[in-house]
Amino acid sequence: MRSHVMRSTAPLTLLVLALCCSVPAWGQDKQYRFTLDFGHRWVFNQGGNQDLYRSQLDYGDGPKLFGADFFMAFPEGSNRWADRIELRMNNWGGEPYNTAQAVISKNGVYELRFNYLNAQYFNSIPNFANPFFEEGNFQSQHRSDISQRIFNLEFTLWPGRSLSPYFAYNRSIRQGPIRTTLRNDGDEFLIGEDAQSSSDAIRGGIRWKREKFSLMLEQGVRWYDDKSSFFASGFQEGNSTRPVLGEDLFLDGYSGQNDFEGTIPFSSGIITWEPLRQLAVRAKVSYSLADMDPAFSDLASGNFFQFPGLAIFYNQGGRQDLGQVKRPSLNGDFSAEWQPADWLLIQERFNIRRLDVSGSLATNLSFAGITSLLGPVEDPFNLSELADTFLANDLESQEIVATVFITPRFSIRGGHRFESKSLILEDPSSGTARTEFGWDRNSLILGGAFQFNSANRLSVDFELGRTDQPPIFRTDSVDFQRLRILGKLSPRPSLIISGNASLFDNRNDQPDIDYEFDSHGYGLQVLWAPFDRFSWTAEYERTELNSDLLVVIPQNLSRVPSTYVERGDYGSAYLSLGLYRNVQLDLGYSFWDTVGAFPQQFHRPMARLEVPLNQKLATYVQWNSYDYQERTTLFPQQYQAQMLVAGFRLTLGNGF
Amino acid sequence: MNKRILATTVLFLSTFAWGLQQQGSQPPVPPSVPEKVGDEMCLVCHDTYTSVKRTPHASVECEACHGAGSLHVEAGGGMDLSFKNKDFSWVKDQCQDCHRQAPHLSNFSRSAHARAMVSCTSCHQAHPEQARAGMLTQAQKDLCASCHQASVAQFRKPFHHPVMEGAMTCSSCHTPHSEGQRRVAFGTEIECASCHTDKKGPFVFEHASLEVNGCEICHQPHGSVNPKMLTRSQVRLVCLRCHSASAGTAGSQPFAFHDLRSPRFRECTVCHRAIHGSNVSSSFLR
Repeated sequence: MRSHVMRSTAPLTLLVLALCCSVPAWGQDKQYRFTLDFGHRWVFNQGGNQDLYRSQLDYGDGPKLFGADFFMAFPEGSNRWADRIELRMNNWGGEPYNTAQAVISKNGVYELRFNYLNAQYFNSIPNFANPFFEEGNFQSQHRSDISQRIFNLEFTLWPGRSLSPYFAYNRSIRQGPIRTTLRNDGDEFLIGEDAQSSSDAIRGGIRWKREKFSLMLEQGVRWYDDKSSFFASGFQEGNSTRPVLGEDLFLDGYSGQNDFEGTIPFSSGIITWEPLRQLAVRAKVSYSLADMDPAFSDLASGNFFQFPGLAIFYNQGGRQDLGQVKRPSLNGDFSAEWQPADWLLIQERFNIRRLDVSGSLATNLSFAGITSLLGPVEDPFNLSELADTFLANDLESQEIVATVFITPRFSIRGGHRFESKSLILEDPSSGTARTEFGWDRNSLILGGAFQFNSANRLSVDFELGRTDQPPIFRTDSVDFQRLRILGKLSPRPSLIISGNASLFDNRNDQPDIDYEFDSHGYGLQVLWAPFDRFSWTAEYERTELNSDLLVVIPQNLSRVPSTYVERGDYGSAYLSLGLYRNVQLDLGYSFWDTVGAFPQQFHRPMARLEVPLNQKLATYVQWNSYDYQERTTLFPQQYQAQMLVAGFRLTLGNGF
Repeated sequence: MNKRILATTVLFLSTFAWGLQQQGSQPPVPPSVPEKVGDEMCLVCHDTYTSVKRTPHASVECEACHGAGSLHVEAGGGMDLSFKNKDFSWVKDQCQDCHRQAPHLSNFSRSAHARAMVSCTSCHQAHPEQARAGMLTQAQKDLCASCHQASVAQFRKPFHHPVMEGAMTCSSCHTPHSEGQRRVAFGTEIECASCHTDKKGPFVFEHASLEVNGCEICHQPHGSVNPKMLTRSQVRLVCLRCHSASAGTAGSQPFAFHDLRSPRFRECTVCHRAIHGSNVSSSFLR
């Protein structure tokens, strides 16, 4: 990848330097801007756990194209093909995330948008999915090093006009090696996976608007395909080394294959209508019908135990699964807005969501090399199973809110929301009969907003929800309070003060749950720029999360409280200082300090010096340091990395 | 909690009272009806705004948004036609004259931004000094961060979605102009599905809490101090929130007799690896 990027960026760099020396003579009416940010990163003083470093940062060294930005604009009508052309690329050259965007448009005629993202996703966290962490083994049993590439293309014809058709294509590809686990009858073994899945979606529709009416209709289809394969070779004892009834369990060979294919057609429609100046209504309906045909097969060899059920040891086991699953889903949103007077706005909203999932699966299990514990069993032995599953989830909510504008800049509002949620589960094959859950909840909605001026405001949102019915899931928000305050104040042009506070408390007093959850957050940010080339930003955020919940200890069926505490402090400060001859110095520092269940610290100082060489070219040096430290008592993990980037930023053109 | 609510309410009302005091008198009503003067006349003085001709607003007359300018010209200028310092409703009405019928903007009045009186010009520039996607006043992540600092702090946590790295933007997942604030990927599928296509199924054996409550029941989408952006530091602490015997709740049956003191059973996803849903195993084993 790196050499490929060097090959592709080197000619570009030469081209840009050539442009720097001889800028083409553009007419006064045409405008363009071209910026290129490129350089070299050195990573040094790396220490600690490299898997953790790669899971969180994964910045590498080498030549990089940090950003390229090309913009060209023509006065309306002066170019036959386009009014605007925008191209952007970010973080190319072996970076964990590469992006590219393009927008080409001609006013009122067409607009073409393209987006590309390549995320190199590495994840191997020492204490995650690792039953041997407490023995000092830091190899997570779930490790992935996959590439996720996403393309989006959208073409709109006659944008902004009364009738505008559009077409879009989306492709997402996920591939790469994964280390995962195979649970096979009483033990778990490490296996490899070669992930290969893709999703392709096309959609098209029209937007039609009149003076008081608009309609959008969209039809699309998504295809999903998963051809991932699984493998293992060689002898493995598994996570459990304890013999079962005197026999050691082990795996010495495994292969498996997914073969899923799915088709998901979907439709959406939005209608807006203003029958009166004071009345606006809107309806949105979306429907999709996902249809998946999963197929899976695998074959394992070793020594395994099957219990309960057959009560056998066996040396070879395999399975073939063929299934079908359908998921019709409907979302509807209807709202009306009535403003009988300038000072009063009444909004009513009705929302429904219906989702059914029905699946069926035929499984054939095969066993060979059998030693039976409870009597003679045919060897080899085949077993067929059928499963039918059903899940239905309905959600309805209705909300009415009245907003009173005490002045044009000061509003208060109050309202009520009713929600009804239900869940039906059915899995006869696993012994789960049809079970139904549901609750109705009433919530009080209060709030207000005050706009000091166009840039400064204060807003408050408060909700209080109650129900006397049991929750569907133990931690559902059936009895909650939520408060959020956001404010921004600029007492003078050089000073901006922003603050936020959020509180979310949730209770469930059911005796065998006794759930208490409190999440609070507070923050303050100050931006001070008293001089033209001096600015200082400081921010502090504090978060507190406390959760108490009764859980059952399976061995003695006693109930004990499970307590989780997480308190975090985030701080950052950045100074930007203009020095002699437009030399710019930036200094910054940020930290996360967390105490509670998973105490840790994360420090990130940085410094940057940028020196303009002329009006088009600037050079810069940037230093970043990352220091992550876990503060757990058992095998705390950490990493450190220092990075130095030396680069150039080139800006050409006369564009705005 | 109640004391905090009381205190914040008092603070809120005090600020309102102060703000009301600070608010000046409304601009006087013009004595006569102004007439249109045309773009050429506007650009005689406002020549720095020629950039509008290279934006999607190129075909819109200055006076379509600012109002007829004859009185402004006669008075030799003034701020009466400027959007600056106009109140939220005035700005919203001006912009919605054209944008109201755009389906993705038609729900703006019910959005959190409208409730908080965030006017269109807080985020957008009709005639920008620099070309930006969506005619935003700043790069999107800086613009959103100027109010949503708490989200910025979350994106600075050790495990996070790569927004600050530039791989995503806030609008990759959120719709700033709509109630609900969540983007829809395909029909009824939420935005998470556009990247995490392998997690959305449908599966023969669905993990019900994922379908009913969404990804946030286990994950903190902005960022977390916990691996995999989980809501708890260890997998079992996430799972036990639902999977413990309680009468009448989903997920508490069948009851599992795992010995949670053993490290093998603390990491539930070692065995239940297909935790987002499975086409093979009702207990998400593969």
